[in-house]
Amino acid sequence: MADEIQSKSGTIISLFSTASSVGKTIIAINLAAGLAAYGKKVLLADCDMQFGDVANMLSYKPQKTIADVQAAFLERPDVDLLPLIESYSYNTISFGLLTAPLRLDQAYNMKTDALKKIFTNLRRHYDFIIIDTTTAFNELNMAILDMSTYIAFIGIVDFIPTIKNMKIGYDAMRRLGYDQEKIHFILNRDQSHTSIDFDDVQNILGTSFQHIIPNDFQTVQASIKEHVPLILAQKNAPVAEKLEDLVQKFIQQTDGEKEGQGSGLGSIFKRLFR
Amino acid sequence: MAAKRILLIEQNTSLTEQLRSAICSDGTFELVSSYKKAQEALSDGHLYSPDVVLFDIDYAPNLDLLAKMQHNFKKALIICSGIKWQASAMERANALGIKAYINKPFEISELSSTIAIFKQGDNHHCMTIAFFSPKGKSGKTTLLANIALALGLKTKKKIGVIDADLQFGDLSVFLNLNPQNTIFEAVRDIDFLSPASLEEYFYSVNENVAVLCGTKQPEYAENVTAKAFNALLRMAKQCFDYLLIDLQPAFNPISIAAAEASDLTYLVTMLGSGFEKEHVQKALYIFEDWQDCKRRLKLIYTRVEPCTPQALENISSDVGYPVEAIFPNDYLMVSTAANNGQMIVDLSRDSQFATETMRLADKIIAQGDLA
Repeated sequence: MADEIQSKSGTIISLFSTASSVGKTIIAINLAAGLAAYGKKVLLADCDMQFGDVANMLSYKPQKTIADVQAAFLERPDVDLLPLIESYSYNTISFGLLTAPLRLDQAYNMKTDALKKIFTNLRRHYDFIIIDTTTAFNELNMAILDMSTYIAFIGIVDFIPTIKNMKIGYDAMRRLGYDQEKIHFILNRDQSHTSIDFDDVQNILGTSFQHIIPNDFQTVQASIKEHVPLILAQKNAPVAEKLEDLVQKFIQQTDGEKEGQGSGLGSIFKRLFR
Repeated sequence: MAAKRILLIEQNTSLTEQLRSAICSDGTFELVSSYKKAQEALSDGHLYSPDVVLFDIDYAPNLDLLAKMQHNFKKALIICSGIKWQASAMERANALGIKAYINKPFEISELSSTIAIFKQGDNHHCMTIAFFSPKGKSGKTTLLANIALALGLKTKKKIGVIDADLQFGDLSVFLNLNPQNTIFEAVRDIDFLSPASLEEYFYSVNENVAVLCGTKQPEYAENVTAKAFNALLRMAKQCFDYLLIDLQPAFNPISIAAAEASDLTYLVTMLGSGFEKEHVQKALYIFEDWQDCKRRLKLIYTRVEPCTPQALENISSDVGYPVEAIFPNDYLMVSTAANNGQMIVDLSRDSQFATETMRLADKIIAQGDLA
């Protein structure tokens, strides 16, 4: 049993974008809920340290945040972290929750090295760790992207400054050496009100979106208001169906990777996502 | 026009020759006298009635004579000259109200622009405003760009804008600029710049407004240290009458330095974005450490519909802090303008957005006059 836990290494999916307000948090919450609904053991971590909204969106009042977990770890590096992890439940579905610090001074004192060790430790206990991030290239985000099995790079097509930031962010990630196959390009809020052509954006970026989530303002607003992941409470909405597809892609991807270990990750990735 | 009369104080002999030939390279200036030390100039220099005194601050004993120089050369503009900018020497000069500085050797054009920058006199105050928001897409950059243009229209003074949203600054897109030099180059070069040469890193949007754009690649941002950024702000304040600073939506050493160096910080938030009340209160908790927080930190809300005085009242009482201004939701107009590199105060002056922008510009001008 102990050996089994030791050998487990959960899949880390980070939600990242270089444009603001693109729906990272909504997608993170729904990915976590959707994976949990498949019986996977899931942890959702909010690493938008200063102004993270995971707890707000779920109307969850944490007793312990990621700042408390870090404090416990720094005090005793061999501490058992699992009892410190809280959880969110809706009906029979639940997933672990690491919310952002409550205060900005705590956010300011988060340590990249400690967090790396915390996530390395935690991934032994979870099938999936979903990490929401802030919009920046900074030390913590770079460490998270490095650790991640997959980077869900979220984009929207609204106006030129956003496209510019997606472009320079994506180019920077390529320069920094991230494998194109590790990055999942996800277009959120497709068909929202814009005069910009979708194909032009793909041409500018030099890549195509591998997953497209439709614009559904009302469903999303309702889920924020009710504080329940829409993938659980509004299953029939088109946006929920597309998020469900994304969940399944990640499950197949991860299972496929385990079966096909040694055959290379790239080919499987291409089969599933192209 | 008569040539401007220059009196030169320079300890270094070879520099004296270089400066002499620069000053005399065309008819703009006349070198009326030159000295090695300030002490010598104090004896008979005033007899030449110079318009400008070039004052060597690299020679330490000169610094002790600055006050006497001011007294003897009341009508002249005293410009400190140095091989490179030295904060400690310039602080002593600034304490006496002497702010003009030039790097030597210089070209004649740099001398002309230094004189132009500092001719406004010693009580020059640059009204500095930092634009901060907890989350991106708050409309902060749109607001800043429109305020900059409005201030230019109203005052006809010099408006400087610094895009210190270092990784993903959008001002160059909003204003349709394609800069060669950005904040990265300005900070890299700052030790060797003077106010006049720094101004060349700013790109003119029109005759009043000039912008120092953000980095071209996000990796460059880490080269911009808080120390160098502070030096940049100090120098930029000497170039402009108003300085507006766009910041990354996060508390970091750069945004904190900008807020500390500013007369005003605008905390810009989009109404209805989700949890803006929580975000603003979280940020206020930090800013309220300022004893004069209510005077220095102002809240601004965007996308307020209906955008009425009653709405402003309601938001103020909800968040528990006075709101300075509110702006209507003109998403289409804003995004069309941004896509085309144009500004609303130019495009549709009759819109409520433009009206509110002009109103806020008036408040800024009034507050600047008080300062």
